[in-house]
Order: sequence, then C-alpha cells, then structure tokens
Amino acid sequence: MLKLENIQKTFPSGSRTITVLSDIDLLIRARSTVAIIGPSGSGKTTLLGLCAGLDRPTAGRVLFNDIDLGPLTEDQLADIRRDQTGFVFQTFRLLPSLTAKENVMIPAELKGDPQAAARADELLDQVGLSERRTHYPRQLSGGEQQRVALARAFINQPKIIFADEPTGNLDDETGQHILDLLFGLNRDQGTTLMVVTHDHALTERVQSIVTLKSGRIVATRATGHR
Amino acid sequence: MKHAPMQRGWLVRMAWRDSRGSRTHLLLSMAALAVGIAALVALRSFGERLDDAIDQQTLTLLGADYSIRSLHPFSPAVEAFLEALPGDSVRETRFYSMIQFPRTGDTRLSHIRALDGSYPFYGEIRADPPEAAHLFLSDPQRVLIEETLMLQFGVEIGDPVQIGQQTFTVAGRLLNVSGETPATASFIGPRVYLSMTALPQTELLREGSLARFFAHFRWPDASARSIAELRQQHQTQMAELRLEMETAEERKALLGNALDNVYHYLNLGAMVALLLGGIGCAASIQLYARKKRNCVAVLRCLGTPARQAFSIYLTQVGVAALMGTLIGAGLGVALQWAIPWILADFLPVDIDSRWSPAAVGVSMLMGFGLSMAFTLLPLLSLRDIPPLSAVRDDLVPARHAARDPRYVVVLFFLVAALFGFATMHTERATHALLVTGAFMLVFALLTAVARALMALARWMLRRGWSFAWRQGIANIHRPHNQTNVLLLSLGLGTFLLCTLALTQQNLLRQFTAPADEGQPNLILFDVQPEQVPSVTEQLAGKNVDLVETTPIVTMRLTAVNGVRVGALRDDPNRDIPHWVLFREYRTTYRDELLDRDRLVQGRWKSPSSLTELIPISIEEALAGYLSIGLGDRLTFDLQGVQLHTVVRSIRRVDWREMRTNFFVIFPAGVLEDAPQYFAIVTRTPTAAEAARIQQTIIATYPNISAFDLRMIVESIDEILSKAAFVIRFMAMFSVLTGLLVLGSTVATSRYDRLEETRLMRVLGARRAQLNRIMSAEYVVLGLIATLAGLSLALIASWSMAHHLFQMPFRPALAPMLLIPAAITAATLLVGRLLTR
Ligand SMILES: Nc1ncnc2c1ncn2[C@@H]1O[C@H](COP(=O)(O)OP(=O)(O)O)[C@@H](O)[C@H]1O
Ligand SMILES: [Mg+2]
Repeated sequence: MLKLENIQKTFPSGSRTITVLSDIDLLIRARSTVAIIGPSGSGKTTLLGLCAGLDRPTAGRVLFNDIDLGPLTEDQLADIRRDQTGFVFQTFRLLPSLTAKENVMIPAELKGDPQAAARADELLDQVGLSERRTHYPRQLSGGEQQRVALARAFINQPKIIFADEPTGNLDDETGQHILDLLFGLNRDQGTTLMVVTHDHALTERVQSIVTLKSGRIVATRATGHR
Repeated sequence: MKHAPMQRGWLVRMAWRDSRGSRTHLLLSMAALAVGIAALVALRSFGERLDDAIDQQTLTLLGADYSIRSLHPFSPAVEAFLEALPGDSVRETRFYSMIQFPRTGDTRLSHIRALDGSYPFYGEIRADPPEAAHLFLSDPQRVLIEETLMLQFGVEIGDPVQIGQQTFTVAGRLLNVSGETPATASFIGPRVYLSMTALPQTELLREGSLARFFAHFRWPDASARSIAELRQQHQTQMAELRLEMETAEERKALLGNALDNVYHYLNLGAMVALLLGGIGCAASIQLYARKKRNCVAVLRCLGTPARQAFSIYLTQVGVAALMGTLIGAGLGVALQWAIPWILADFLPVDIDSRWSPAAVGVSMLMGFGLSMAFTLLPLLSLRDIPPLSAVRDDLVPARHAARDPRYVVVLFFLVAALFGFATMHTERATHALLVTGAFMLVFALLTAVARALMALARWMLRRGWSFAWRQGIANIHRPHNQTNVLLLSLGLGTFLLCTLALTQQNLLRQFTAPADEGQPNLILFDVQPEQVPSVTEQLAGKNVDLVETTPIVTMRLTAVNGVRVGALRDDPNRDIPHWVLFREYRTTYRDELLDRDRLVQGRWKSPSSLTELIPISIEEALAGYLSIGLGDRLTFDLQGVQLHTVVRSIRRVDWREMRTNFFVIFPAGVLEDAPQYFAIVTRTPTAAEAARIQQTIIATYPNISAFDLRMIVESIDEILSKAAFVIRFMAMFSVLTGLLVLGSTVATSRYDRLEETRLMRVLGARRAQLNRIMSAEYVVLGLIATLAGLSLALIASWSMAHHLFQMPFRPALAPMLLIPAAITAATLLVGRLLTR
C-alpha cells in the first residue's frame, strides 16, 4: 500500500539546515493498522505529511500503491488525496461556515459523486449524529466535531486513513468512543490506517507500532493484533 | 478537467455555503469602494448630460447666432457695414458705472447693459416678476437690477435708483440671463439692464469712456458653414473697422473648455475616492483572507486543487464586488441629481434629469475592474497555502507575496489603470505622469509614516506607560491592525482638505493684506479734469489719505517699429497675444518716475525737443510679449493723432498692488491737452467711511466710479468659496471613504478584537479601561494620520503659492488646527461606536 524508501527531510533554518527525518524505510501493507509514536518534535507529523503527499521528501521515494509520488504535480497529488485518502486531525478542522452534513459531503462533492448527500447521511448515522446534520461546528462538542471529521474522512471509501493524534484534544472517555468509531469504520471498509498518537489505549488496538526518535525509526514492533 | 460542469456548480455552492457568517463582512469591505464608484458613476453620467445640454443649448450660450463688438461707439462706417450683414440685430452697450439708491444712499459699482431691443434672441432674461424682463424696453424710466444687489441694500421694486444723471424706477429683480451663470454677478459685478433710449440721459458715456458696443444678430438661416463664410468674407473689413466677431459655436467651445476643466478636476476627485476605497477594500479583504487560510488548507488537504480552492473565495469576493458596484452605481445615479445643484452657480445651461446608461455602464465596468484588482492583492495569498498547513498551524507561506509574479502583475495593472485614468482627465501626458507620480508619492509617504508609527509603537511599549495607553498603542502594531489603511485614507483626506483651505486662505490674505497694512483701498475712477479740484477738496474734509492723483489717457497701438499691428497679427512667425495688439492702452504721464516704479532697464527721460520721438517707459511683460527692448519704436493712435515713441526704459510692475498701474508711461509735456480723466487713489480707515465717501461723491458726480478694495475682496471671497464648495465636496468624499474604511475594518476585525477583549476582561480589565484602550488607539492613529496629511498639505500649498500663484505663503492657523482635530474626532467617534 505505502512504501517509503530511504526518506530524508530537511528544512532550511536561517543559514543552517535542520534534518527532521533521515534514513526512513517503511512498508505499510494494505488493510494494516500502524501507530507512529515518539516524543514531541521527533518528526511524526512530518512523516505523516510525506506519506499523504502533503509534502515532498528532500531525498528518497514515497510509493503509494506502487506509484512514485515524487514526479506527480500538485493537482495529481490532490486527486490522490481526494480519491484514496482520508484525514483526521487533532484539531478536527471542520469548515466553520458549513453544517455538519455539508462538511462531510465535501470530498464526495469534489469527486462529483451524485450520491454525496445520501452517503453523508449514512455516515453521519453511523457516527451517531444524524440528528445534528444541520448544526454548525461551533454548536457541536469536541467529540461530536471529531465524529463529523471521521465521517468526512471515510465518505469516499478511501484506501488509507491518516490520523494525527485524533484523540489528542479529547478527554479519555470521548477519545475511547472516537477510537471505537475509527476502528469500526476501518474494519467495515477494509481501510489501511496510519495514526500518530501518544495515546496508549490506541497503541493497544493497532497491528504494528513504529517508534520515532530524533527523526529516525528506532523500533518497529508488531503487536500481534488482528 | 474531468468533471468541469459539476465542479463549477460545486464551486458556486461551496462559495455560497462558506460565505455564511461573512456576508456582512464581504459587503462592508465593498462599502468604501461603492462610494468611489458612486462618485465615478455620478460624474461620468453628469458629464455626458452636460455635453448634451451644451450641444442642445448652444445658441442660448451667446443668445444670438453671432455678435459683433467694438470698443468704440459705432461710427457711420460701422453702421453701414452692420446694415449689410444678414439677419435682424439688436444693439447693446455695456460699461461699468456706479449706481446709487437715493432712499438709503448706498452705492455700488455695477455692470450696466443698455439694449435697444429684445435680447437674448435664444434663451431669456429671467426676472421676478417675469414681465419685468422686458418692461425696461417699453418703459425707459424703468430698470432691471440684480437680485443679490437688491437684497444687499434692501431695495424693493418701485424704489428709485440713480444711474448717472438720471433717476430710474426699479422694475424687478434680475435672476439670471441665459448663457450666463448665477455666479456671473460675483465675477463681473451686479448686472443692471436699461433701455438704450434712456442711456443719453445718464450722461455716462463720454469720449474715451471704457465701454463695449455690441450688435447681436439673429440669422435663422445660419449654419456652421454660412457663418464661417460670413467671417471669411468680412474679415479684412472687420479688422479695419476694429470689430470683433463671436459666434455661438465659438462661445460653446470657450465654455466647453472651462467646464471640461471643472469636470476633469472632479473626476480626479472621484479617482481619489476610488483609490481610497480600493485600499480600504484591500485591507478588509486581507483580514478576510487571513480568516480563511485554515479553510483553504483543509480543502487542499481533502484534495481540492489549488486553483479551485482559490476560486471559491474569488467567487465570493467577485459577487461582493459586483454587489458593491451595483450599490455604488445606484448611489451614483441618485447622486447625479445632486451635481447640477452643487454646480448650479457655475452652469450656464439647464441640465435635464435623465441619466446616461452608457456612462453608468462604463464607470461600473471601471469600478468593478478596479475593485477586483484591489481585492486580488490580498486574495492571491490564498493560492499559496500548502495543504500541509492543515496539520501544521505555524507554517509560513512558501513565497513572499510581493515576489509572486501574479501579485506584481496586479500591482502593475493598478498603476497602469491610475495612469490611464489620469491621462483621460488631464491635458497632457506629462500632467498625467505628474498626477500619477504625485499620488504614488503621497501613498508611499503615508505608508512610510505608517511603518514608522508601527515601529515607534513597538519601541514605546518598552517604556512605562499607563495600562490603557500601552494596550492602545500596542494595537497599532499588533497583527490585524488598521494603521496602514487609516493613515492612507485619513491622511489623504486631510491632505486634500488642508491644501484647499490653506491655498484659499493664502489667496484671500493676498487681497486683504494691503487693507491692513496702510495700503490704498479706495480708488475713484473716471474723474473728469474739471472735477478733480472739488473732489480733492471734498476728500480733504474727510478722514481720508490722498495717496495719488493720476491722469489717464486712452490710446491704441498702431505699429511696432513701423510694422502695423494688423500685419503683426497675420505674421505666422510671431505669436503676439491678440489683446496686446488691440487693447485700449490706458496710459499716464509724469515728470519723474515714482519710488515704486522699479526700473529694470534704461533710464527715465524727458523729451528734449518736440520733433524727436517721445521717450516712453514700458512694462517688462509687455516688452516680452512684443519682443522689444530699449530703442524700439511704438506708434500709438490718440483720437486720430499718431504718437511716435521710443522705448527708453523698462519697468517691473507689481500688478497685485492696489494702485493705478500702467503698461506705458509718457513723460510730462506731451499728453496734457489730450482727452483724459483722473484716477484718485485714497486710503480710508473703515468700510463705513469708504461707503460714505462713495455716497457723497457719487451723489455730486454720478459719472465717477469707485473701486472699493473691500468690495473686491468680498467678491473674490464669494467666488473662491463657491469654487471651494465644489472642491470640498470631493474632498469630503475622500474623508467619507476614509471613515467607511475605518468602519468596515473595525467591524470586520471585531471578532479578533472581541476575543482579545474577552481575554482582557477575564484578566480583570474594566469596561472603562477597555474603552480607554480603544480611544488611545484611535486618537493616536487619527492624530498621526492628520498630522501627516497636514504636513503634505503644507508642502503642496507652499509649492502652489510659489510656483502657481507666485506669492508668498503664510499658512492660516485655523484650518491647520480645525481640520485635523475634526477628522481625529470623527475617527474616534466611528471607532468607538463600532467597537461598543
Ligand atoms: N516547515 C518547517 N520548517 C522548519 N522546521 C520544521 C518545519 N516543520 C517541522 N519542523 C521541525 O521538525 C521537527 C519535527 O516536527 P514534527 O514533525 O511536527 O514533530 P512531532 O509531530 O513529532 O511533534 C520539529 O523540530 C519542527 O520544529
Ligand atoms: Mg505532531
């Protein structure tokens, strides 16, 4: 599904360059679930961004379904994101002026899916928010907003979901509920899941855990979950 | 694109959904621009209607198909010539004379017009009562008098009025004459109409009196061609008879020029409003773009192509700009009814109330184009938002906006549009460049001041100030500040208003100063030689300083170095102004030059023998016009006698001095026996004294005219304030736009500010303290903006005084204090009202 080969990422900082990621080799199989953990500043979000085609590595290759993302244009990357990936953010990132349902519909509408509205209703139902369809993000609690975000991430039946600390802004109980939904939807749709987290409850549910430290992979461990 | 039609639908839907909660913001952003568009629409539409009106009412401008005029009473030869011209004619004599109202004794120098028939042929004399417009023709005992004059002295219909030796009855109030404007009276003095048959009884016109004699012709078969042919055919004869011809078309061209200047000037005013509005709009859209960065990042992250995400916001802003343009156009159409009213005093034609769809359309297009360009400046930054910023808040845009080529293209377009606009409304490309350059300079300077102020605010914060002042001043440089916009709009508004006020005051001071500085302020003209002793005696009994008594002899130039003036006029190698060759030269004669006659070349000489050329002294500018110097010969005609003279000295004359000034001065011993009259220059201590002297002198000698400096100052003031009203109207646009910009930026940044305010309150700030913070910010911004504007205005009015009016510049204090104070107060008020 996703293959990283000898990735390096540096940023210019004044006259120096800082190396955020180096010597990253990683293989993520279809339908697998992977957690990326590590201390703050170790490069987890940067890695996620590279995998999702939001950013380009300084050196090395990212292969998405055997397609090298390197030579693709911005618009081609956007097409891949729209059709094959879903995103869940730590801070939810709903568009404040759109209702819950309209937020969920965006990726489907972008694709020109005539079933967008029906699919959005269905997904909102699955996350238990069919009553809140017409509500705006500011009328929803954090947990509810993240549920809308989940529905949005899954609406195009993506091949892979990227989640950056999806429970980071939520209390434990709400976080558990979100994880239930995330893994539930993941299982139902047979999606690959790559999730950055600090949350121990989450690491217990994934199949493998990658540990980053100072921009290098220091451990890759299978948990034995199915 | 794969799903193009679907995508477009989605784009519009998305734009609509996403605009929820921002629609007021978007419309407010356009408010200031709408005002500029309104000004533009109104002016262009008005301009077209004005052109139409002038075309349709061409004949009323002159009141005749053509007119012939002379500086001399028509001789039998002239009469014979006029007889042969086609069409019916009416004779008119125009001159200046004092008139007196015996009931109160008030006197006033007036523009007397004697008619022997109904004129104007086209258009009318408007009077109250209407029939009074012709009463003076049928009843030579009656006259028609300027309404303002009657109001000034409380004169009623039926009251007696003395003109020269004759006492008339006031038949009615003169309201206006077709082809002239209500402001005419301010320029040429109050108009008085009487019958030609009554003219001799006044005994006002004597040999050498200054008057103009007209024959107005109605020639219904006239066409542009036939009139041109007529002129062609009689050109030489008219030149010999010293007659001038004017046609309705020529009058129209003359007037068209003058009105064009006003129109173009007003358009430049509209441009200022439009630019200010554009800047305000750009600032407001910048806030909007900042607010929407997150949305774009998320959309990009979800797979929206960059162009499409940008298009969502472009669509929103485009629709808002369109609505702003429509609102502005609506306002403009409404406003254009007001323009004829504002310009009423300067319009010699009636403007109907139609509006011009073409003009409205064109200005809407211009306004929309400009507003899009202005909003693109900040909006373009939305194209550069990387999807990565959705996961990473602190990400800075990859490129600096100013280096984006699209940004540069938009900026270039704006400058080109500015230059294009300036080209349309100035006469020469160099002027357009100058205007564009001046604007860019003022903008750059004000932006620099804004920058400096922000830096200063940052620096000042480190000092110990009270909490409110510190917070207020911090707001000046904090993100989302309004410093730039406010400095530009308020600074420019102040600049325009102050430049206007300072220049006006300076011009006025120039005329009022002599009255305060012991200079002469009352001149008696047309004093007959035999009247001089007794007038002098009368004046001696009063509290009056007799400054000088000067004889005046009127003559005409006939040849320069033996070349006749007609030949000089026809000489294509020379470009001597017509008036220099054909004017009546009012000259004087003296034993010695006076102290104030400043010689620049040669020496004053008295004639040594009667056979040689008469040595004369001429004025510097005249020498320049005629391209002559010492030793050149001028020939003058004095009632048929040829005077052969030679230039022996050249003088510099300060024409602004309230004296009798002369182009040509003769030595004593030549002109003593020529027909002449005297000018008596005096100084009276008070206005009341001046009025009393005029009353007693005019009562005894009605032929004497008085130039009262105070009166002249009054009419100049009147003219200037009328013109200033028009200018102020345009400057107010700029201030209004500035306040609207302030209003919209305050309103649109309110959410950011509200959060801050809430935080402050949580931290324990009281309502009064918060108010003080706001006040501190707006007072500082208002003061700095207006001070910057004032400084620029001082520079501008100083250079205008020196280069344009060529007079010393002394700034008046009142406008310098009042205008900045008023604008600062308005800023504070608007800011406070909106942040409540
Ligand atoms: N665009 C950037 N420019 C400069 N430094 C960056 C940029 N993006 C990330 N970094 C740096 O890279 C390091 C890793 O960041 P990140 O991937 O966000 O870590 P994590 O998500 O594990 O907390 C941090 O030190 C961060 O400051
Ligand atoms: Mg992170």
